[in-house]
Amino acid sequence: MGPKGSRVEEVKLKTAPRVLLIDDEVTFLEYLAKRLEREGFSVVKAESGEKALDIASTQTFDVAIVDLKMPGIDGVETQRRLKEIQPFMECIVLTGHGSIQTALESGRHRAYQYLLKPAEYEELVKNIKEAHALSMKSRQDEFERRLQELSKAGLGAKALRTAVMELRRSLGLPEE
Amino acid sequence: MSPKDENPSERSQRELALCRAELEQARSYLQGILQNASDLIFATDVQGLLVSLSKGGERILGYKTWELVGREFSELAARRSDLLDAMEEAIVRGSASRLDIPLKAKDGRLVWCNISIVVLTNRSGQRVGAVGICQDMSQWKEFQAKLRNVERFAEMGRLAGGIAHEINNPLAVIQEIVGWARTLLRDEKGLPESFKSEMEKALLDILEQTRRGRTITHQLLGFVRDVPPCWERVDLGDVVRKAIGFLGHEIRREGVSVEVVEPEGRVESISDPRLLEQVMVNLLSNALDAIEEKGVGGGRIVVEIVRREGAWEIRVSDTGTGIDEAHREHIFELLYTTKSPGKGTGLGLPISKRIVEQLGGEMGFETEVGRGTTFWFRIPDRPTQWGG
Repeated sequence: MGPKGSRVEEVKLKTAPRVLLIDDEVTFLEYLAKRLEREGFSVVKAESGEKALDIASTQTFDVAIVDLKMPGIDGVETQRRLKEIQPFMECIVLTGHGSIQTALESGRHRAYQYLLKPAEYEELVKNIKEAHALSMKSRQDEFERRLQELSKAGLGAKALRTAVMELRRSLGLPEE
Repeated sequence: MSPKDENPSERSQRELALCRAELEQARSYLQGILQNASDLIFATDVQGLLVSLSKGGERILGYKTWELVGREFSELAARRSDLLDAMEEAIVRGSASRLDIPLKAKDGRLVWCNISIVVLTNRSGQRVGAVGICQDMSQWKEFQAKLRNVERFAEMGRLAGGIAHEINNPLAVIQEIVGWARTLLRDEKGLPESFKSEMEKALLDILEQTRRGRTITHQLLGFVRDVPPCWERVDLGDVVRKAIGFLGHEIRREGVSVEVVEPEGRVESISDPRLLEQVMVNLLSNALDAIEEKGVGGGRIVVEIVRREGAWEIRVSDTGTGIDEAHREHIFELLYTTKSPGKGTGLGLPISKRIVEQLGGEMGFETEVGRGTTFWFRIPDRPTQWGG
């Protein structure tokens, strides 16, 4: 009962990967999203770079899976702007249009991984989990750094608690 | 007797003899040129019958001069009209040239020549024959054909790359749909087991076919894309073991034993592990296919890492079918395959060879029909100027 069991566990821990899935191939989005949700991930679909940026301006994500060749703003640009909005988000490039130039280009924008379609599902899931772990670690590190600054600010207990909660929320960390 | 003493008839006799001698000399001089020229030069009489052929002509066409003397000169051409036309023009204008005329050699081969025909006339302007000078263009033609091939090949590559890209998308969609269907099937309670397993098999078969498509598109892209090596320190033993691990499923399915023989200590090189892995996987899956094709069950693959000529050599030996003499020279050609449809893409070996060369090394094989094949490749300890 692998996937179902792990879903319960992850939901309980409130650390289920928050995945933003970006691809102009709607059928692909539909089915990959269903599978990843079964895996216990929380998944939001976007069928264009523009949509993805819209969504990412209001919702926190750990991992974005980005197709490179899309009408409108392309994958590389989408990835660059997503990183601007949410620096802790890791991007996995998943594309049928593999070329070394685009791979290097997305590498320059710190893509976590570059996978050529059709990728093995297990490998994709493994990469999402690793990227998620990396994302959480960066958030946690940042939290601890800022926490030290906060503790020097001489706030009262209640104000400190509010500030800590606010900080966790802004870093996309679970509040408990 | 001095010249002063001779009578007029004696004198004219002597002058005539002298002229004859000179004429003879001039004629043999010309004959010498005609016969010994290394180009194809022929001469005809006024009726167009061949009177001589140069040594070069004998060499190029494969005829001896005596075989041709007295024959109609236009018979030299694959299409007689080519030469007859040229001659007609030459008769009107004094000379004529034609490009790319196929001549017919004795063995039936076509020899492509650029031809000039010059009409010979005597002092009173009467035609006495013609000379044809033919320049053998076969090599040039061959070179041009090769060049066109290279161009066509590059174009094919670009086209294939584009198509591979486009096909990857639907393949990915099919794969996700199948994956979803399998998940649903697995989690559904109350379905008869026999139905479930039959259904699961059908879905796996679909998945297998998408994998097959993916192998083709990914290999094509690998060939079209010129991935520059990422140089790093590589443990060659690791590369070998990873590749074997990657094919674990197939190795077990075929019941093949795989043995790795490596020297003591570290076997390291500055190279590209991913590219090397790709080569290893290609060689190993070929070895597996050769063993499977032999069809006697079992079989053995030995991977050896040895030191040779200041480089590491990796040798992959199988107990498979071996490679037929007829296939050997084509084995590294792109899209050449002896495997059944669905197995071979004709890409694995050419790509592997190219990768090894990119890494500054070389690749080759030794084979014996019925006993097996060893493919080997050698890579330098660090990038050479050439490979890097």
